[in-house]
Amino acid sequence: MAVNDSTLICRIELPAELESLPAFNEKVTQCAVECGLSEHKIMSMELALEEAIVNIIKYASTDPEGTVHIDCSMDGEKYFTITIIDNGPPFDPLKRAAPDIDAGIDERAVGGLGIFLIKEMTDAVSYRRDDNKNILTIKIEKD
Amino acid sequence: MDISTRKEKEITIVTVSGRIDAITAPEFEANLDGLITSGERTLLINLSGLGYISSAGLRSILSSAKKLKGLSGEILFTGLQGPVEEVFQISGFKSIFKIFPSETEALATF
Repeated sequence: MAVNDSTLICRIELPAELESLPAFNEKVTQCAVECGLSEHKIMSMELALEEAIVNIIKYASTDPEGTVHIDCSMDGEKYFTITIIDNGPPFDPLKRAAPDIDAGIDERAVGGLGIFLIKEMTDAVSYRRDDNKNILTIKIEKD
Repeated sequence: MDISTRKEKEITIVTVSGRIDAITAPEFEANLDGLITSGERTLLINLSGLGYISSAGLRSILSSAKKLKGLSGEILFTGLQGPVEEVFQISGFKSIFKIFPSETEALATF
């Protein structure tokens, strides 16, 4: 395990509902700009963030009072890190089977692409359950 | 998100700009559904003004494409660029849909 050299840049907590998406996006994007991420990396970040939040709203959060808490930090000089925390029941999104991206229109399942996109568009993604919370960590390398 | 439609020959050209995300995707899908219900069978979707698409948008596209396929129709694309092209590439959509470099080239095949 590397020495933890993580600097918190911003923190935001909002209700676990779709309407919170623009505010999360605005705050985290602003944070990513401050950290010097390129436009291309910010787009990847934005997509990963939406997919992660939508996933929590769809599958994890059953409590109408549920919230999503996001911390943005820099791991050293290299990785912009988004930590997404919700207090819903245990749900590891990374366990979802990858979609068959070679299937034709008829065979192809509608959905299942969100987590796949997070994995493909970012440099590292991990899940852990801690203190009755789901914690998803997404890392994007600065270029 | 802005959507406009026009018809050339038997092709319905749907130009969508802005963002198709989890919030706007239902409206986009409802729009495509409306066209399918009113009898349109070939939709050429121009994405040149689209800056962002997430899995919610891909889901809407696939869902409409499945409905159309059952009716012997199809969805074609043009104007793929930037982040939207990247998402199409990664998700495999670039290989399951017909994609044309321009509207003119798409229309010329009909």
